[in-house]
Amino acid sequence: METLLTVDDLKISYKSGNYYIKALDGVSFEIKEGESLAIVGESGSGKSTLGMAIARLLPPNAIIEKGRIVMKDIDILNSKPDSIRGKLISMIPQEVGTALSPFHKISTVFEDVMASENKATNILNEASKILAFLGFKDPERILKSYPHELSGGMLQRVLLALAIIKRPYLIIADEPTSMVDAPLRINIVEILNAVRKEFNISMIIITHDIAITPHLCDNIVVMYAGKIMEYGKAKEIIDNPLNPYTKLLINSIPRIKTATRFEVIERKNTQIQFYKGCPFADRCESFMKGICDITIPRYTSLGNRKVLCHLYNDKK
Amino acid sequence: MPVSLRYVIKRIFYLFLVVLGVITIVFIATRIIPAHPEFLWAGPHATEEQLQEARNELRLNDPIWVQYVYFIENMLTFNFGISWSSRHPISQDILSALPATLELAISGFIIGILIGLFLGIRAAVKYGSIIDKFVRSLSISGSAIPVFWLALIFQLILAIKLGILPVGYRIDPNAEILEGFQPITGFYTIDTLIEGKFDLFLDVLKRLLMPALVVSVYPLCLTARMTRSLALETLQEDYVRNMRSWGVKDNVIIRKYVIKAVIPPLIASLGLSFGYALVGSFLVEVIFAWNGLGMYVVHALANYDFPAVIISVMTVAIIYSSINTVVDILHAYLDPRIRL
Amino acid sequence: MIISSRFIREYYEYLKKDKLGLTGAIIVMIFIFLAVFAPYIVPYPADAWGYAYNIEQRLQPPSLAHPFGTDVYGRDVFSRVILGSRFSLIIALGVVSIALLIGVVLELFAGYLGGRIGTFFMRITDMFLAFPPILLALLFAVVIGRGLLNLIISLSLAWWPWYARLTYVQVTTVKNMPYIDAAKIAGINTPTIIFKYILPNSLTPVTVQAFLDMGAAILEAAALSFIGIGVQPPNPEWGLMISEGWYLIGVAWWISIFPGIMLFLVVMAFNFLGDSFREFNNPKVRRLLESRGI
Repeated sequence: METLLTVDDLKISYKSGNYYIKALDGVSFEIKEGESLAIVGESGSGKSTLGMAIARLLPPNAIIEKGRIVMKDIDILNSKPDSIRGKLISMIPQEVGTALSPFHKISTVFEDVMASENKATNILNEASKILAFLGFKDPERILKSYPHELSGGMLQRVLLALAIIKRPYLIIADEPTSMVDAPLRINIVEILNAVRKEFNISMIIITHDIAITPHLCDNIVVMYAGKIMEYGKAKEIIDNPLNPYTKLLINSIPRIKTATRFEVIERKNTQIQFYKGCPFADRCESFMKGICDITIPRYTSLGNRKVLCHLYNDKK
Repeated sequence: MPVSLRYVIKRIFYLFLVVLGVITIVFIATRIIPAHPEFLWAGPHATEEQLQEARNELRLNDPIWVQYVYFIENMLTFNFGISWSSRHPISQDILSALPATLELAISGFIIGILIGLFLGIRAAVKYGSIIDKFVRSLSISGSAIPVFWLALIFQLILAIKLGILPVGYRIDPNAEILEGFQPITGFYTIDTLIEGKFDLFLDVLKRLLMPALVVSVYPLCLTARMTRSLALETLQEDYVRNMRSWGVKDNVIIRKYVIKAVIPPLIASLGLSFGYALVGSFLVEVIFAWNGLGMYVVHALANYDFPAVIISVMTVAIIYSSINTVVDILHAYLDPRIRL
Repeated sequence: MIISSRFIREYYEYLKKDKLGLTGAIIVMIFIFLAVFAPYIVPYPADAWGYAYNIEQRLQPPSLAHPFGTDVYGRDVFSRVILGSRFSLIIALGVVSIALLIGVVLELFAGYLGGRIGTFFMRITDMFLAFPPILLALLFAVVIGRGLLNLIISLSLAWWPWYARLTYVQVTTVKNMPYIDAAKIAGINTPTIIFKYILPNSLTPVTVQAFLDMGAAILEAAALSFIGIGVQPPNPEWGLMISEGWYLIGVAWWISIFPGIMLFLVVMAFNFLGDSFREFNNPKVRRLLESRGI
């Protein structure tokens, strides 16, 4: 399979007042065509920044210090945003209720999204087709509606349709399951998988919910404090997490039988630039004094896994 | 998309209640608070006979609720009595002065909201830039300007020192004699056009320009300030970011989506804007010799002709409430979320 | 405490960065200083109070002796403008505090009684809000008469509904806060809840709003004085001074222009302060400001 997207040593900070806050600290990974990737991490881990950087949606105070994002030989960070957004890379937002302008019909949004495309295609026909594929029995009625007339689950499918209508290579879904009720989650997962198959679209799923990732994604990137802690196949990581942080994440998936530890220790330093050694040192179970708090760990490759942890640095 | 008839009827019924409320406040203020209302109504130099007449007219010997009912009846049938300073029925005076005030207020209002909308959007889009700082300072300092003082400055500079615009009056004072101009609707811009007198129409526009600019200041500042903060809030909305992520161009988002989101709350503020314009023209009319309601009130005040003042104030309050009702219905029409 | 020292310190830190707000604060302080000490620092106190008539000095243009010129009676406009700040401050403080008192007390009363009587109070407030405030004040001024005290009373009578409504909105918001529920569950009695929890938390916004409204009160009072129903001659109220000179605008512009500048500056200063305060209190805007590094 050909490589679709390469992110190479990406460093991003936010300017706030007179100081800078590091959000991404040297992130690298690849996505192959048709593959899908989950970015897992808690809030503040930099996962949303990563998604926004790829979709060229960073806020004005974000500064790209270093690194490249390349998709199909196009340098994403140095192209005009208009040539990328929607066409190459699109996005499914997290919040469903505020995702669409309350003053416009769904059809208007479709028309404006398609405005830059070939005028010959009948936009609303196209939209109806996609909506029908996503399981709407009466797409015309949906197009005529205002957002507040639709339910959350319906809106989510409309947003998906808007993201894929220009047939991008990649869509980024920000917490696709966080805003819906449990029974609908499975529904969303099924629809996303169907879309992936039908349109051959790669996906990046940004989520804090590691439990859903095996159903949706091939690979997982676990992020913490702007760094990738572990990278590998979804199933392998879930079955056998190597990094202590990944272990903590997986242990906090609610399960019925095994009594898990819900130990959440507050990070002492909320600002990332203050750590000296491993960013996870102050919460780590396998903390080793004299190593983890002093030196920054290196990436270790174990098969097709990549782990950032002193435990494995030493083994090598 | 039609607003439900029920909503319109509800609003109109509510307006009726507000009008009753306005009349009630006027009744309380002028008939219950003063110990001897007849002095207020009959004027400062009234003879005992005139006072007696006023007492009869106000039915001061009847119980208070009877007075109240008669008062409401008189007000609702436009039976306001006679202004003893102009010797005309007050209703007639107000009717002839009202078009002048409305013409001025509406012109100032329209100029103000158009410029304000434009400036507000510019400022929000270029947040933090020089344009934004300028608009922010202008909109805050503008609402601190005493309009009657601004009117004087305009008059001093534009009319007296530079001589670009006429000092005052709604129309060339000789127009009636030389050109046979006769007011029809009382709105001189319309009247001159109806009569086909284009040079007079230009004269009227020229005379309208300076007072209208002065009156436009408050609506302009209010609109610019509101538009700026509304547009800023809208630009932070999820849907703006989403639309960007789907590849909608920024100018389409601003032209179509941001403006549409800004307009309904702005419409809700139109009532207030118009109120500002009305009060503004009230205060500057006397400076521009603009014989509208404001000038009528100032002259009535100088002559202690209180009934004329009170009724004029009440009229403006009722106009203001009606405008607010229209604005509410318009707002419901434009914002699909409040369709009840 | 309603306005804590921490709050003031934080706002002070914010003001240092917000130039417009800082300018406003400085002008407001100068204004208060002038209002307090005006009679002792003006060059011609008798002119300032309006009792001196120097007909041979009348309508002098601005000069070293009379920086703002003299008016029709030969009085020093500069002294009068400075003393005018005292009138404006008295009006502003009077109007705002009386209106605040009426609004908050009525609203608490209404809120305490609740039910139909509470609704009835709100309807009365609505009736008052149907008037543009300045016209309602005009109506009251016509009935109760002219002069400084009557002007303050009329303006307060027109002004209180705004505070009543603001208090109402605040009380309803605070009443539904989780900590009030928590206090109820903990068994704290109702008067304690009202006076210790709801009142302080609802009063802060309305008190701050009232302080910032002082500019608007000064402006409206000047407008009423301008049309002849507020402060009466020979007092040096700014609106009145503008009206004393407007028909001479082509001959002696300084009589009207200088009081207007002063009026404008002071009201603007209050507005700047108010605006900076609102932006300070609006977390959304604040976050935006911080993210842009202002």
